[in-house]
Amino acid sequence: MITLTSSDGVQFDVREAVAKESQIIRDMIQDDCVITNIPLANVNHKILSIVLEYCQMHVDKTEMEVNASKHQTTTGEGSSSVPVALKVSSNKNLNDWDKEFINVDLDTLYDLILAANYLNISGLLNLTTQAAADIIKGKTTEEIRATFNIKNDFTPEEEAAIRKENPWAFE
Amino acid sequence: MEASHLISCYQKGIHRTMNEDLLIEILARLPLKSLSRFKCVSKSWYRLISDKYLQQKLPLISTGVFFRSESDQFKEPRYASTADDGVIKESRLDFFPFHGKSTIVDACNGLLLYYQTAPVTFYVVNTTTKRWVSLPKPCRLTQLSILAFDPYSSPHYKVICFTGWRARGAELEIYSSETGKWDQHEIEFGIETDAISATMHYFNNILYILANPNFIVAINLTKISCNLIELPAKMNQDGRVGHSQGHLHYAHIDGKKLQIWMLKAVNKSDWVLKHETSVRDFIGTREIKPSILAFHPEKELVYIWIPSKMVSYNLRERRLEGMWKFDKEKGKAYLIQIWLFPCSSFLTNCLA
Repeated sequence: MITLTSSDGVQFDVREAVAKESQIIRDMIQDDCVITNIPLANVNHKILSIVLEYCQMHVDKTEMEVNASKHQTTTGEGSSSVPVALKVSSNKNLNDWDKEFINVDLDTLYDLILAANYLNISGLLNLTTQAAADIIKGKTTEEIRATFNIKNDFTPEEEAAIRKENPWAFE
Repeated sequence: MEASHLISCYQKGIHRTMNEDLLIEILARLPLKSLSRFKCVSKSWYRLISDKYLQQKLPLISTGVFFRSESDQFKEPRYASTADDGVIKESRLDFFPFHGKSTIVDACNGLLLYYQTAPVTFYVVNTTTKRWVSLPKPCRLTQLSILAFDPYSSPHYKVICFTGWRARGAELEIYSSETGKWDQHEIEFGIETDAISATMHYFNNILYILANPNFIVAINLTKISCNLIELPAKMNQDGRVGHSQGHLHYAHIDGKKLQIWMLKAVNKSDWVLKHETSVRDFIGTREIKPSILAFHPEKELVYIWIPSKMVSYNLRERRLEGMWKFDKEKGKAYLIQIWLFPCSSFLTNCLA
């Protein structure tokens, strides 16, 4: 077990495999095998508990898959097309779970992106940045400026020139 | 070293570049249309979106030509694109007013070539930007028309019309979008014209045509000259020629084996057998016939059509990587060719 401490002092005891979903923690454990308590200065307890829920689910799924394929080898049904089918169906369940998991408000999503980046959890970073892209893809430029609090520093002429370069993008 | 100290070391490095890097991660997952629109948000967004670093992170666009079913081969071909969620969707082409009055005769890296018989007109359609043009009238009637467009290197395209066949050559009329003109030419293949197949591939200003029994005719479209490349094995019906990592590749399925060769030096027809695998690796024990669709331009991936779906096969790891199926109503559709290409500014500026 490893203890992770959030920025606001809440401790989470997790299995090593779960903590190691984070590349940064994986590297630390490899560098120094006696680490048992890791303070995470940039993640508060609310976000850390969501992150750990993600890691827990993904570790469980991977372990289930390994067990299932072991079972298959011992029962001798290992024709080459079967493991692929099994993997695809298991991925499908996990994708559904991910979709449900990432259905959060924008502030939480933003914090999750920062946490996934800070802890270097590539699956979670993919998931959260894709969710953010899905939210903003249909927005107008004005809505984007409002969402991200960005000041338009183009002159009207400059902006018109860029629109003229890509008229199809504004239809 | 103290764990807390380690974390703060990592943290400093990340913190400095975090905002822009994370924004790039989000932008790289946007559809091309949103991305082009968001250039207007601010100067820093414009810079990020126009930057080569982001352009290279964008996924390749993949599109293909298909028939509704195998028995439909002589009917009108249709056009589709693949989506991340493993679906092949028919592209909506209703922005192009001549869609119903003309036929798709060729496609190449995101552009479509339409031909209308009365009056004789060629149209080139950019499916990404939904723009189209009609070409000036060619002088002669075409017997075979090929579209050549490479968004890696140029916003210009060519249309190659074979207007007459000779015993060992052909008469050509070539349209260049750069000059806006048709020009007539003659070429010698160096082999019998009867040997020429309909399997072609365009890359870097050269049109590669498979020819029986074991040649590739490479037509240089600038010099209008032919070069013969000898194949490493007798070609078969399922042979496919393409480029990956800058090298010409040839692949075919010979009975139960998929074989892929890479050309080391063009002048010497110097091929190396890069990969050989049993088709069982991707069809299992089923009695179906897979066919090769394309090579990934950068990665060690080959795209294969297995009746009812397309799969990508990782040559290095010898495993299936991706899978795409037609949406339900097109359940019996049959993909015949695909293209994978980057969404470069050459693509969005072409006909835009």
